[in-house]
Amino acid sequence: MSMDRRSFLKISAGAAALGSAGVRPVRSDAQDKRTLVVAWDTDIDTLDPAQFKAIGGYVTIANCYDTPIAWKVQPIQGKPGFALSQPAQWEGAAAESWAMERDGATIVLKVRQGLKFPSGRPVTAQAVKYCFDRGLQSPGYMRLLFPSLIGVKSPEQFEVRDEHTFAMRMEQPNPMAMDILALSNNAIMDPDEVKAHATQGDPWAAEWLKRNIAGIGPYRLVKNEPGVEIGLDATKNYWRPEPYFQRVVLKFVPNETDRVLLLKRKAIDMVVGRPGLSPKNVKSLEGEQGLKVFTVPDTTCHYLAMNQQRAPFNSVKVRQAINYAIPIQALMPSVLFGYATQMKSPLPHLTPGYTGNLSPYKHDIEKARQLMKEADVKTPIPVKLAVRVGYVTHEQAAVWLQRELEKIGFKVEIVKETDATFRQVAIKGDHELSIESWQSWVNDPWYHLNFLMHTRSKFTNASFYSNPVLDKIIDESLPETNSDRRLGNARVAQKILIDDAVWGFLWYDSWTRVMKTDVTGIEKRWDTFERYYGARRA
Amino acid sequence: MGFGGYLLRRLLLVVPTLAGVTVISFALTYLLPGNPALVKAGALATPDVVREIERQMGLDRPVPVQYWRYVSGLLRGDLGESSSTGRPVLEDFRQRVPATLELTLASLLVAVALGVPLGVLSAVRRDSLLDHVSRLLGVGGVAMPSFWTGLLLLYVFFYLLGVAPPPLGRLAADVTPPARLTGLYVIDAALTADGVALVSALHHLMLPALTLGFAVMAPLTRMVRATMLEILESDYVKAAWAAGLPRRRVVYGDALRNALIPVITVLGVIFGFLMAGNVVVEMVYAWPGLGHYAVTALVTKDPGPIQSFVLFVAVMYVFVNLAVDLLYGLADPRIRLR
Repeated sequence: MSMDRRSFLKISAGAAALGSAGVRPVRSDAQDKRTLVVAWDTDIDTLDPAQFKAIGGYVTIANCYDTPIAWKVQPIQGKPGFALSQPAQWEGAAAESWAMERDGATIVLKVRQGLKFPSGRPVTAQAVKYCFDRGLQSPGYMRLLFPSLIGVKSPEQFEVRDEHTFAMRMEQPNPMAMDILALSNNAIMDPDEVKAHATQGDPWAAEWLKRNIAGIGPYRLVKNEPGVEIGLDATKNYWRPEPYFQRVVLKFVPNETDRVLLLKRKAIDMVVGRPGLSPKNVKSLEGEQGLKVFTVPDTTCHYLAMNQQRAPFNSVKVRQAINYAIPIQALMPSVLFGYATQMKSPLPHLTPGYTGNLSPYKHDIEKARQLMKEADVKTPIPVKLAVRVGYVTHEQAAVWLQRELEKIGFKVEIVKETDATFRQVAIKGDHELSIESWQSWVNDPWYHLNFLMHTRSKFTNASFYSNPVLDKIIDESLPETNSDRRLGNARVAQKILIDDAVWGFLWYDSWTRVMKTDVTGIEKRWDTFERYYGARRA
Repeated sequence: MGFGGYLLRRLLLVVPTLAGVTVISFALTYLLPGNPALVKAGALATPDVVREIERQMGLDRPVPVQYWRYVSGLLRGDLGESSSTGRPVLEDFRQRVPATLELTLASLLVAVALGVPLGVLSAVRRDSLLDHVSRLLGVGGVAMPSFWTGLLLLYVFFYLLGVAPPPLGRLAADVTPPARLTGLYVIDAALTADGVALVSALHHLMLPALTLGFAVMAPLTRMVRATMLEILESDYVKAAWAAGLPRRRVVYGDALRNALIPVITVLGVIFGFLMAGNVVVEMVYAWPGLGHYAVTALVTKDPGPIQSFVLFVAVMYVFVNLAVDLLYGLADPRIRLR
């Protein structure tokens, strides 16, 4: 369309006048009842279910792909409109049912009848096998988790019995297997679609799957504009009942103050992310008209890693002294504003086997000084305490820790590092003290301790704790099916780790969301990432 | 050799400059701490996986080989991939450069529209109330961090008064972006006569441009004021006064025209600064520009975006300087470009 200079100027001037007059020319998405507008600060790093790292990737995959089975959620008493996953409770997804054979060493999945991929091709047992074969043979989560945790090492352990029956044969029964199957990285993809985009150098189409979805889920990705928004539309003719929200818009809002203002102004429905809002800001939104705060205890652990390859943290007395110097009673109200639970064990307090009465540690500077004296270390001890930039609660807790640790003979310098630097320095073993966080996707004591305490877990055992006795207990307990022995061993392990003061025990985050009062049906699963198909407006 | 020869010579000089820049941008990813393969591998990775990713990314190859891969990639238009967005960096730049450019140009417009008249009036009415107010505004613009100004404007105009749009990017949620011609929504919407998009784009541009414009207005005002004062004291202006030429013509004709010559340099510097450094304002307004993209890349030590950002800024400065030099030749009759 052509336009002369005069028309251009007229339109521009008119538009500028309208803009500056503050006319709101369009209504917000948040006003459309069937659209859920969410603010967060993440992008989709990849859509490959085997490879995602960012929350944006995980949430999109969790909403756009079915896994064979899923964690089942149950309503929470006293909190209408919210539901939580429970230990050892699952429901069918792409598989409508499952059965155990060989005392649980084989899991048989019945693929849902009539389920079709977006291409129109049916979801079959062969498709499930293809996806599992891919996961096991290409870099990613499945190749990392299946062999080491549930003893599935070869594609031959995946069997197609008929068009709708798939079986996974493990070496022995494993109590974690169902939880591992519920993870989003086991997304079911259309094999023909994936194969069509495979190349000689990329036989599993990893490159194509980074930016494309080849499966079916309650939502489909209709927009991905990094730094702006992600749009999800409800899938038509999906096997679940139609979700209330026909569209979910996830807006990229990098500044937390903006997220608060947007909520207060009701321009968005809710804020998500980890953490979408700092505890201080959540507190400030409590009681705000038209908003509600939903919070439940969660499994994310925050702890003070003490590098046990370095003096003086190789001394158990010093580590115990530090635990007595942690001002947890001050951190809870002043840094966490009550949106956390005190950590009393290296296991999360919601994890089966957790024992909360083993820890003797409480803030007691005299006791800490006594232990430092017994450790016979020369003071003052210069030490660097590393925290990640942007982790507000860590940065604030570090200041409190600095003050208390200086009372018992440390000279603490707080070092702020970017994520990339922090991770690299940690893995190289160059941190002395650092504030770490961890959330186990599988709510199992041995999944958790295997990654955080086993000598072989080089990248995740941030304290470089090495105890052959504990390693043996972990190795024996990972496949243990006897519940009493499994949980009994968990108690023994916790006793060892607490006596050894393996970490400075800080806190478990609460899972907290702030939203408009009419938003309900929020579901929280073990992996902490929202699925929106249960959400609705009251 | 005339102007054409001068231009050719300057353009040829750009080549070795750019070659040097590629070395710097490449070296930068080595100088920064942090291993990109570790970030890409994620928390659950094992040393084997990290080594595999290092191999995939070519980080296990000798440095000269890596540099060659980088430069040959550049020549093919391959700037690498962003691990935050999972997309080719070139695609991200295509989306983000116009956003930053639009904000930069709009804030320059604000700065010039307010700063130049304020500088002139300050100089003409030296030590008057207006001069003091203008200097105070100048100091305020520099002293108040744009993060603060931005939040303040948002608080008042979005939260309290509800006249500004929510800080959610460049357009309202249900407005379709105009057909892409330049990527600058205001220009594209105007050129395609897309009134809805134009209104929405201007509405969303209003506060960010004001915030940024206010921040960069100060050096402009001070420069115009100082130059004007100097010129108003010069012999030829005195001669013009003495000859009885109208005040308006002397001030706005002769004096201002000459005072604007150094302003060109300042504008060039400000333009470069804004294109490369308005991350704070972009963060406050969730403006999907280059600044936040570059910061995310730095935090995650993402080599493709970091190298491309450095390269982009360097190339931009090279051409901004060239443009300033050329404009000088046009604006200042004493300068001959040969």
